Amino acid sequence: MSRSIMDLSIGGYVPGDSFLHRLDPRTKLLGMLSMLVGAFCSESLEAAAISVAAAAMLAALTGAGWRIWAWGLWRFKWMLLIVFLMNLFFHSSGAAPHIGPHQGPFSGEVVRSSLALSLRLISAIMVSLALTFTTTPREMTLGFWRLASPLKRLRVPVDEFGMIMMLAMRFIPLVQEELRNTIDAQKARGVDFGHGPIVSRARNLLALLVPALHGVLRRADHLAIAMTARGYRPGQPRTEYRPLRFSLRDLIALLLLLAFTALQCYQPVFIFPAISSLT
Amino acid sequence: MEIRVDKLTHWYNPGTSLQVSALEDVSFIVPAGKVLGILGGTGSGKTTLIKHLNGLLTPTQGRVLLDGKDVETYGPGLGRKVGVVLQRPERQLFDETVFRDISFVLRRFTALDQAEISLRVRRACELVGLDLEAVGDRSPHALSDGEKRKTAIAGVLVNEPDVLVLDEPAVGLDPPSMADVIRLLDGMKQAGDRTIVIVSHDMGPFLTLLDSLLVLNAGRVSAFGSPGEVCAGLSDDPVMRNYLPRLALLVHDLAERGFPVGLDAFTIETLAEQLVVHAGHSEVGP
Repeated sequence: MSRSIMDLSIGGYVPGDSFLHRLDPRTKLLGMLSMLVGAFCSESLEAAAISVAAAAMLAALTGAGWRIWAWGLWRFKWMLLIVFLMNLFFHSSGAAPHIGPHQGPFSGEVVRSSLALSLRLISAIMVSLALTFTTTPREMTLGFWRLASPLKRLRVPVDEFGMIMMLAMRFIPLVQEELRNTIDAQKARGVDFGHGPIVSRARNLLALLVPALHGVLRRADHLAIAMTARGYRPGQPRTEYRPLRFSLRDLIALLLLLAFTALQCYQPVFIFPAISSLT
Repeated sequence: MEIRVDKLTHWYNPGTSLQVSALEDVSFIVPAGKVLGILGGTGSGKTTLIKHLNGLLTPTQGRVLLDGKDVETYGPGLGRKVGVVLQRPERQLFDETVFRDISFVLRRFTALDQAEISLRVRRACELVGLDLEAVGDRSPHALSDGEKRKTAIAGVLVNEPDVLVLDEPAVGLDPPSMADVIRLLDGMKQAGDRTIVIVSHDMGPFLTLLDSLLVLNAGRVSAFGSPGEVCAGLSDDPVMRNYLPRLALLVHDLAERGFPVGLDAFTIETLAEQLVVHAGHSEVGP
């Protein structure tokens, strides 16, 4: 496990002042949704490649730098590999081509669809990371809150869900910190997590999970007391220190993203006929 | 075991927008069997520094040598040679009973037999002043905070490390438990077979134990030397003065005003004795 970027966690925010940082969180949430729809509404390899390219442009716009991006994506290597292999082995369509006298194991179609699925997943991960890298949990919750507020008329407790969501997001890095501290503490007394037979390694995990869980519950307890002490009451209206502002920039960004998704879902072949005719 | 830290620099998240320099060009030596104190405010790099001693962190630049050998070449056994008691170590307790928790590393990662393990656990508990007969079979979570801390320290001592590092050992302890920790460290210092590093932002209670004192400020060494020299040297610095133990400041300020006190009169008793002698009385009352 790389320890080089230890302060950035899953769902972590990378401070900055890029174009994406300055967008309204509602724009980014809707934009992400639109990009995800775009990535998954076409099955072709070309469309998947275009999704990745678009996601890469977003990645460049976050201003986080390639190291953070490389580290962020590298963590998904096993998931991507497993998805790729599962699709390769269990999604059969078409006949495998003959290579010389032998029949190959997979048809070209399956390889293409597996690749396309992996690319679509990569673009989905990148779009999500672009959102979390540039949006603080606070902004994200505010955005979600506002987008969902029409549901209040249907008596959906939007405010409470928003608070739960914000606390959950705030807790992800805390849980990671708790785990990291526990790993360090156990290593410091000579526990060696990386070696030994797999069964005993799994048993060593108890030395990690029990204190970490204990720590997280303690934090949750403190949090509840702190919230009560500051007068938080479920169901009471809350004010905002920094209200959201939807600007012209947001409108343009959102229209661009929706147009991109529409094009991708409608018929990617029309946009890049040259590529499709090659394959 | 001799500790030699050579031009150590550590950056978190190097090469990214989150890069933070935690240590810059830190060098010092602790001879085997001696006691070093590391003093500094929050964020001065104390914890980052000691995490290099047992390989939890690796240097961005520079080297850490134990008995002349780079820590990176020690391999998995390093954690048992260099025992580090991190901040709030009672939070690392997890096993069903105190005995099982203290002996966890010995049971899992060494080939020692049951008798030897029992002996070592007994020795470690004796050192920290934990009554094994009384608490050995209880859950560590049922203990008082002071006993939890002792259990956690015993869990490190049980490896019989050549180097013992304690990060803020005094934080959150009541005065009697604090006295126990000082007594434990003093006992180990007298035995002389271990190199000890004590990290704290309040060095007052540990001053008499120290052979040398390292003061960190914003990741750099402010001063390094004998506690008397370091405290005397930094007493005139308006910023660092606030980190020094009050007794050391008093000693320095008295000496500066012409009172004949030794620069290492770091207990109330020795200071009082010297002042009484100076005042012309022949003996100190009880």
